[in-house]
Amino acid sequence: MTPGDDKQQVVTDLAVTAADRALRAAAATIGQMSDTELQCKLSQLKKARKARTPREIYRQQDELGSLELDQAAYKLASQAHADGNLSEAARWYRVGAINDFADAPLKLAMVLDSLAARYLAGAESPAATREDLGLVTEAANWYLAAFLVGDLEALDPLDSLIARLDGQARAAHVIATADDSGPGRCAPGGLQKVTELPPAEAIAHCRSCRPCKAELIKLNRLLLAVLYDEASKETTDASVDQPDDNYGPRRSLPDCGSALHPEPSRPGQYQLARSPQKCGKKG
Amino acid sequence: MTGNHDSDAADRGHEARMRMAAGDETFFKYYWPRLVRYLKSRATDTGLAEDVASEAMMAFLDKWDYLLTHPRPDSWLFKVATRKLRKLEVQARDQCCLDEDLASSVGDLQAAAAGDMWIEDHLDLIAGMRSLPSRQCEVIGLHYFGGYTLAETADILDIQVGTAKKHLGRGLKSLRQRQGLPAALKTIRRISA
Repeated sequence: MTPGDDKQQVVTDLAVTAADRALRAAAATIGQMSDTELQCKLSQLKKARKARTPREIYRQQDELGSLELDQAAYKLASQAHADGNLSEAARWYRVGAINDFADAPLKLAMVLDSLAARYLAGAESPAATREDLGLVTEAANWYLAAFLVGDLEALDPLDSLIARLDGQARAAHVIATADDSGPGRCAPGGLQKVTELPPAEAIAHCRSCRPCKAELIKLNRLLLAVLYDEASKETTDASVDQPDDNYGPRRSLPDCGSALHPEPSRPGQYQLARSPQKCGKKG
Repeated sequence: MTGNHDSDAADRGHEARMRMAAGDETFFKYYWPRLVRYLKSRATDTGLAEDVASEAMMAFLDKWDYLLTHPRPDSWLFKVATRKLRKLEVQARDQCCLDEDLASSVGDLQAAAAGDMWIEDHLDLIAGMRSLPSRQCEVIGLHYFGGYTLAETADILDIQVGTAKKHLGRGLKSLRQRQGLPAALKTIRRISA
């Protein structure tokens, strides 16, 4: 440790002590509240409690029960994670992470990261690469969510994921480009002609024809973009509550680099994490 | 977890149950200011914090008989309130109805100070706490304002004690930096430079 480090340590220790003192001073008076105010609040609370309808009571009990569910889901996820069942772990961690339970966002990100690595290890086809892209994107979103609630451990994996995602995106682009100018041409004369064939024949052809596959991928992306746009507009116009599932419109994140916005391969799969900081969050 | 900690926790649980035995008014008068101010120092929205405190207290009154034999009824109250607040904040953010920009935060804090003398007296501190990441703020709030040990805080937040300790250390460090350094520290900095 250098003398500079020593001084820095002294500064840090003093800062912590000063914060500790300020907090203790505030804590010493936290219980002080005027009797009138307390009586007023208590009578309001009792009145509100009495005025509840049976339906409201059931709803509140149900909400209380759902808080317990997050904990149960987290336990299931931890068990599955310990058993090496990553898909199951991701499923249950997601339940807790959506409600910001404990360190579920960080754990979910780690599991998705491992799943992505598993896909990547066996990825030979463009489809597998896209699957990996989706997992990496979702993992990055949850790492970001975990980081923003205070889990600083999420920062390093987040950085490496973003770097990896950029690399993957470039690789996917190369594959797509190669597909476009790949060997041979579509015998019937392109996807437009193929759609005029009988369905079974068209499907069989598309399975074996690379130019047609490439066209389908492009069309799929276009279709998803249109669907997402419409879904977003409908949500904004109607201002309705979104169901708590994986099929809501995508949300934008704070600026974290283009790597966090890859093309999805199916609706909902890459829905951005319900990050607590989405709408412009505190530091 | 040490034997000492276990017995301390049991004592505090006993104290909370004794307050319950003395009646709901006694319990309310002791825990309401601590709960609502802990939530106000943690939440972005004072109104949301008050709603959550009321709902948690109502849930406590609903479960009164069950909690009379609970080892830590007070921890139950803070745990339910913290989880409710997190859940509601997530929902509010999803629907983009939680104003977290600087101007709104300042406005909300001023409104909170106008309605509560304690917040007005510790405005800088509460502003600093609100600017911390939520986990750090929760650990600090429960440890200092709730009077819980780190082990109890970790139990309330469903995290490990080591994690709670880490959040506390980071939180205290950032809190002081965000509040502005006192004169003594500025002098040390000047000498170091």
